[in-house]
Amino acid sequence: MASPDEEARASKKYVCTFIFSMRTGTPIEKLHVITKFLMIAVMSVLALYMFDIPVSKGGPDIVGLILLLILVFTLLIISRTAKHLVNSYLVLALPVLFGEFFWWLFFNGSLPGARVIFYLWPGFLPIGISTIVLVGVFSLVYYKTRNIGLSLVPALLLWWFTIMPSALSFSQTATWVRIPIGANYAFSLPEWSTMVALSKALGYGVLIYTSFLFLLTTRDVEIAGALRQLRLSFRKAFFVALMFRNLNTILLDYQDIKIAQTARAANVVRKSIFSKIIDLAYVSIPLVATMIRRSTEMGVALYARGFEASKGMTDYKETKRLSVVDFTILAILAAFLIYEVILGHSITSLFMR
Amino acid sequence: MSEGGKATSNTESKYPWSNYTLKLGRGEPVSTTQYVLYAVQIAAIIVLSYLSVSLLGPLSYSGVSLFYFVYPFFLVFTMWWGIWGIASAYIGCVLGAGLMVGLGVVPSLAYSISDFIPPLIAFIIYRGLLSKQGFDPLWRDLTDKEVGGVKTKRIGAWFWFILINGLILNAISAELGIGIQYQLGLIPGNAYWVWWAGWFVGDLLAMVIITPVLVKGLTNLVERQGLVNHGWIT
Amino acid sequence: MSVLEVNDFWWKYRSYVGVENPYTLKGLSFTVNKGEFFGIIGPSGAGKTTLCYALTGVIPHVFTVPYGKEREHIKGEIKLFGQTLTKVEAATDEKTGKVVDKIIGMKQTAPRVGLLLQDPENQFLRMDLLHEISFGMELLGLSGSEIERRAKEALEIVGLGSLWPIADLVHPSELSGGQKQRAAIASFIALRPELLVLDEPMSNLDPEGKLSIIQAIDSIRNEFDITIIVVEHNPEVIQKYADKVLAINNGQTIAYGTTEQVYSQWKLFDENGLYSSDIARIGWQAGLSYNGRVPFTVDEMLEAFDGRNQKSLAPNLEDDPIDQSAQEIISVKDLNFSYEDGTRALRGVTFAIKQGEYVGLIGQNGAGKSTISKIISGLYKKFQGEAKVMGMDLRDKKVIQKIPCYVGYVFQNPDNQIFMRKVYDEVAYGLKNLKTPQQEIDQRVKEALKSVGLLSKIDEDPMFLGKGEKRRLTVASILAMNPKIMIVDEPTTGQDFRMSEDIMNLLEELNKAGTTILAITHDMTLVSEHTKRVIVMHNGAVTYDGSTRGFFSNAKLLDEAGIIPPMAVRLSHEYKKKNPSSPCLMNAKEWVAALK
Repeated sequence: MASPDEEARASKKYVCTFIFSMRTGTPIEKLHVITKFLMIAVMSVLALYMFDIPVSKGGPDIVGLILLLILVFTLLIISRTAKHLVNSYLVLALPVLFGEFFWWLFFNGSLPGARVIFYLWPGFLPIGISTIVLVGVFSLVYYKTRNIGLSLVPALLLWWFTIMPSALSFSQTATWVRIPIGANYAFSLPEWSTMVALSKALGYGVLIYTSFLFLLTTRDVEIAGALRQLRLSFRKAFFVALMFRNLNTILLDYQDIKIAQTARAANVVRKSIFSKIIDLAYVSIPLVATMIRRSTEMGVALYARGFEASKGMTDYKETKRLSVVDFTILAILAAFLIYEVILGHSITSLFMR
Repeated sequence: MSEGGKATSNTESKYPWSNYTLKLGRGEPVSTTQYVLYAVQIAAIIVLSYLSVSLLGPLSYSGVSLFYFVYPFFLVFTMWWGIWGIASAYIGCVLGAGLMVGLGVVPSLAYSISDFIPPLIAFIIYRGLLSKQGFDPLWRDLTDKEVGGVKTKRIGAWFWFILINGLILNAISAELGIGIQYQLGLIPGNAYWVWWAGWFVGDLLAMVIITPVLVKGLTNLVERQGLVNHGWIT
Repeated sequence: MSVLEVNDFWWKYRSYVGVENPYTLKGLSFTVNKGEFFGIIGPSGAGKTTLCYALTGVIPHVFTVPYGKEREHIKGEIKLFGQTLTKVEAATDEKTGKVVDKIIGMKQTAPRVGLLLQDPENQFLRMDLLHEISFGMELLGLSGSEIERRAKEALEIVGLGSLWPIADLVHPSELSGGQKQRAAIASFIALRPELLVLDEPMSNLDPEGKLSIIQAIDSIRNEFDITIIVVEHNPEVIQKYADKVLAINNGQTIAYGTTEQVYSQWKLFDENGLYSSDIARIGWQAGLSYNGRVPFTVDEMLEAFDGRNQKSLAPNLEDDPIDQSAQEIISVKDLNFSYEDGTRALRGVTFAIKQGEYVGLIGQNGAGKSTISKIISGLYKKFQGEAKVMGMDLRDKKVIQKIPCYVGYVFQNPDNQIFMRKVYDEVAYGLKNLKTPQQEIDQRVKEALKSVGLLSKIDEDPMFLGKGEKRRLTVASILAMNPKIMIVDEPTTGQDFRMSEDIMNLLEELNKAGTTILAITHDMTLVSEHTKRVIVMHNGAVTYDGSTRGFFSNAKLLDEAGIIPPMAVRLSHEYKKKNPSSPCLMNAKEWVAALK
């Protein structure tokens, strides 16, 4: 039977992290912050490597990137933080990934290989799988945002995405009805362009979601503790801790100041971009003034706790030991890194054999 | 450039900003208030970096904002607080304009050098060279006709400000930032100059419009509380 | 045995640029004995916080003095626990061999002395509750087991023992202001101080928070025999707990002695703008006495009543009737609102306010008062339900954009709403945003500054105005925009008596001139003296909406809302027990009128 303290602890289901919060008791929560950091660092190195493999060496490791993405989402799901992502960053991240795809598709210069036809407009309105994509994406985003404009943008983008490549728009299964509208406008690109563009989007997705994984599952107090474990002096480690301590406070101050500015009719009359920029600059005045006042009072509070005269600091639950699980994960990551980056193998090539 | 100022030779004239040099400090250890302030201002730059990049949403791709309004903040903080402002520029970019907008650890650590170098060089040039030529290292001569009883050279101040910060250092920053991202494979070759121009223009606009407001609105407040660094560290 | 001896102490802050600062403390002398509860009172800007800094070594170790100018900045001496804390003496410089002035005394007063500041946010230094409590002990180098034992005990003492099992998981953003203050007290208790100095520890808290702090202070004083020094505006706290009181103004002593000796001096309070309790004011003005002095408590006042004709306490009470023909200016129906993190702030709120009303919006922290006010001001947009201002629907984006023209919001913290470096520019800022012609801006700025008594400061830098002046400036900035409705958030927090009176009188004048006022406040004296109607909120819902007198008359309602009524109302309730037909008199003014 659990003691009252254990019951109280079990009832605290969420703990604040850098952004939002994390469910307590999950496997990710138990990992050391150094492990988490190295994990996302290795994943970002892998992503950067995988999407940059030149065509002459077999091209980007698309399968590897997809596996990495699946791994990241799995970790987000088991840490019970995926819902935060879906509620906020997912909508914003998708356009970024689309942007990455299109920049690489059109601005990548000449690549070898056969050319593939793409349609800016195929000359007809296709009714088929692309329509399902359009309606489905629109409905999903509208359900979350209740905003028609915001929902149309990703829906139309994805819809155009599916009708662009000639293979998809003309295949029997993808298109059931064709309603002729206008003339077709086609262009061709080397087939490697799409692979490279897709790998960049996937790789960038790995970068985005690993960063969020770290921020969603790491508490600021863990980082300060890890710095002490890395033998940083207590004053330097506390300096970093002070930095993190003030992140939330300053963000709240900024929001309060913006609201106060709105209350002073800053947004009533239409303003030029120049005026809006000046308004942004004016925010700095109360922000910096508050910053200085806080620093003075915090300095007094530090003195009152005996910080100035102290020669050292007891490590009372500041640090956490690395466990067997941490070392195991680090070993797996090291192996992955060696296999892919140092030995130059590609996971895609394993599947292609 | 000669306009206004006292009629004495540059090497002998004592400006109100003569205390602000490239020495380590004022010969005192970092006070508790300064210790806290340096940490708090880094936190402020992290938050502002994040807002600079994220507020423009999908347009802020690859950590590049079309209007990087934090840039003048860490420039001014550097002029006030030396190495601490430079540190805030780097850390702010790594965390605020990097990790927190999903750029990834390695790209964030690498491309943030582009925010580290300009304030570092600006600090050296202004405190080491231009301050002795009659230009205020705290940039008050951009907005004020006189500083501490000394007439300022406003046209000259603006000339050096635009040339050094707006053009040269901004170009270095764009080159480093976009260049590193290109080397990491985040930006395609044919888009290089598009993004370079976006970076350059975005930072230039922010700097030219916001810096004078910051300087005029805050420098004397910071100075009156004895919080402007005499040197790199204190 | 004395813990602190202050002998003719003077202090001047250092100035880095421009003119020298004047002396902030001027020749203060007093003694604090072991185990005493010592109160420090004074109007804003009197030097109370500076005195706290001097008593704890913050001056001169955090606020330093330039080398060679020690005697210019410090005079006199402070002794702590029998040893010199701060004094300037001539001494031989080790390096140069010259005789120079040096500041001698203790460099560090922790852990024997603790200092609690006003703002709970700025003294919560760590990122979780456990390490906040253990911080001082870690710096002392205590062992892990000792830290754990003391931390747990300290949390129990301040009433936060239930958080012990999860203390390492609790982030500061999850704690209320009162909880943060209690955590700060706990962090000092764990260090076993002999002296605890508290600088207005309750001013930023709601009534529940205030009560929890004073209970925590009282319990630690008794349990650990700690000497307590408290700076506090609330006379009830000082009268109830303090053994001795020091009253200062302009850095100088204006009264020093026992609570009775100090609080008996009516003229002193009047001239220096100090808070006196309702009971004392009634006593002074109605000529009542208890044991040869003014009564301080309800019981003492009841005894002082002996002999007074009961009939004289049936005053001609006529609350100004609310003009029923007046138009509805604010109307909310079934309003719901949740924050992004899922916290439900409003649950089906419904009320209407007529033009020209002066309404108090009260309730504990987290009740939803600020949220509803920000919705009405157009500052929060995503709500469910109906909200209308002057007949305009706040669900319309175009209406929301224009709302600042009609609704003025004065926020609690003046520092977050000062955007300019000149008083004139600050007041003109809102008008410039509205593209008001320059001539009109000039006129309106001057009018607004005149009405708040700041016309003489028109060219001053707002950053260097006093606390009360900043507050008045923020009011002027909104006034200049001629709003039909003014929402004022905690107008009297941190203000001394005179400043509070000035602000409240100004709001009353505005109300008489036709402006509808909605005052969010924890100050029940303000509510009882100035508002005719209150809306009480609890847990996101309205629990009472009616006359102020009706609310204060009902002990059950007060209890359910967790509201501690002002002393004058408590006196009414007690008086009613023996005289059931007597009315509920809400403030000192009504009592004095009734007794005369």
